[in-house]
Amino acid sequence: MPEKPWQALDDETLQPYFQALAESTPEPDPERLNRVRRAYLLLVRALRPEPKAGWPLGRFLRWPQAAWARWAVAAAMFLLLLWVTGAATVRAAQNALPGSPLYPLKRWQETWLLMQARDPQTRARLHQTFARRRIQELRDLLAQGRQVPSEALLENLLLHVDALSALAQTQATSGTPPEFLGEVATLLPAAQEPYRTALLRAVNALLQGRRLVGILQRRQADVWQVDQVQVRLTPMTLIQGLPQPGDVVEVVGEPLDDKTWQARWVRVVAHLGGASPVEVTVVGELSRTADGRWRVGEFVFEPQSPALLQNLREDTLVEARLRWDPKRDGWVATSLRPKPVLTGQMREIEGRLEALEENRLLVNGRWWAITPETTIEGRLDVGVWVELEAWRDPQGVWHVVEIEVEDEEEEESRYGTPWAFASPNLQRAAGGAG
Amino acid sequence: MPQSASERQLLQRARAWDEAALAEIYDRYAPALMRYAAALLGSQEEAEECVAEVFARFLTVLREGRGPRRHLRAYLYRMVHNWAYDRFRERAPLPLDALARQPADHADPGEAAAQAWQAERLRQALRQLPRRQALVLTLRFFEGFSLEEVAEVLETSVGAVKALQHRGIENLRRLLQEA
Repeated sequence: MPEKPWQALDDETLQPYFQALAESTPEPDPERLNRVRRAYLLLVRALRPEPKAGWPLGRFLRWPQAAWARWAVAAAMFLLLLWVTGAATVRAAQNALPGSPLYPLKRWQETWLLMQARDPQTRARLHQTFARRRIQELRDLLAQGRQVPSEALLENLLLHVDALSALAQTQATSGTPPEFLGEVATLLPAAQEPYRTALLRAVNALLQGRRLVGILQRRQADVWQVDQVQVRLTPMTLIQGLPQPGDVVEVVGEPLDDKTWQARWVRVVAHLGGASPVEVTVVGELSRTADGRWRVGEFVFEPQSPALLQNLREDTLVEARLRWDPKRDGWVATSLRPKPVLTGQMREIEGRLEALEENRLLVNGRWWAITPETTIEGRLDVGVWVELEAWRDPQGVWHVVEIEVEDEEEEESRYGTPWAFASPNLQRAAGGAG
Repeated sequence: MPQSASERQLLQRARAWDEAALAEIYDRYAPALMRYAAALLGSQEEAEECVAEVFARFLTVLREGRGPRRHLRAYLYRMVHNWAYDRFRERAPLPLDALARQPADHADPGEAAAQAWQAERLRQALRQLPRRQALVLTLRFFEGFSLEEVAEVLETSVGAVKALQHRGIENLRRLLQEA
């Protein structure tokens, strides 16, 4: 059993490198560890789940599936309601806020009304009304200075919005009114942590996947350009993290008919540069794009001078050094160096799945053939992150030996955010379908 | 290494949002993770950022009822590695001649510089490897994980880890010879 990890390595040329890595990496500074620990424990407390409401029938009474169950529950509730309260009490409950003794009555009445509503239009109208009530309750709670996160309240709001969306998909109803998002967002400035985090989660859920991620290329007062897409900002747009040209930003909003976006929220995913030059080095095969530019991996660029492309042809494996040029609004190659193929005719690459056909798939701008021998791990969908192992036949066609799809949870953990990250040139359609 | 009973219990308590258990998870794993991140990133500052984000993300997924059901340590190592790998994609590598800031307390400054230079060459070569190959090599030969432990991190078989290790070593040797 080797004493040091690198001694397990049989290769004598590599051993000194791992030894150097181990010996030049010091033990972590206790001060840093403590600093992160303090922040972590604060977060532990901020995210502490709210105790479940002590109403054991609550979950059952939400949405019974069977018709007989709905009627039975409705009848029982109705009788109970008559017995326990009078009409005056029910009216008084309409203005009750969470925490008030009458508040459960208000919610019971809503459940009862929803169970009685049979046609989709009435159900949609009720869901809208009740969603508005939840938002008003949030506003009233904030106005009273009650900075207490009410998960049950937010969950109920999302439940109504989800129900509206479901009705919109299956029935001819008006669907989810987009102003809900704006209404909840207006509450954010008044909210403090951890209520603010809970509200942000609700806003995020209301977005229902409408987002665009890419490099911020230009910003003017109310129109920004993100990966060739014009993004319109309004006074309601929330901007998080001082986005600068060159940064990767995430735009949450809606695509409009004229192919622009209406942004509700813009945040920085990664600072690529700001004032300092933005440079990346990327290794991959050189290919040509439809508009005559060049591409390596996920990066589309123009050469700084045509001489860089001398002796290079498409398919050559190169190391490209790229600089973001704000004047051109694009990447410029300052160096293109050919590299030998790593393992003979075998290659391993990774990237985002850009298109999928029956016998081939597009990754990093190149088509890869799928054969009966191809092993596929995971489900292939456009937009997922994949790792490929492939070999090239004498005709230059790449055949995939193995494809592995990176799991969604891991993908999320890579970015520390529930939102997906898009490549610098990849424009994501609404819902992440790509 | 089979998952220890204590780690399983710790994870169960963490899922119930037991703050003492969540603190214990940090105390148990953060020091090694921060050193691992520092080795990959070559920067204490970025290692701190990495560990802070990884633990914040861990809390978020736990809060949403997701996250690891078992093999907590493996899960955290994978998150750290992915974070570091994504950071590589965002930035240009440091020029080698800008390296080798010699530690003041090192007995032999020349040796320290050579060591830092070698470590950075290795880091840059690892960045060019496929993610899983790099993960196998760093866990095996920096952290000292067994093949079985690496298989837990990658959620794959020991055979697949051996294959990745073999290809990783081949590629790494070639990259270091080219550089």
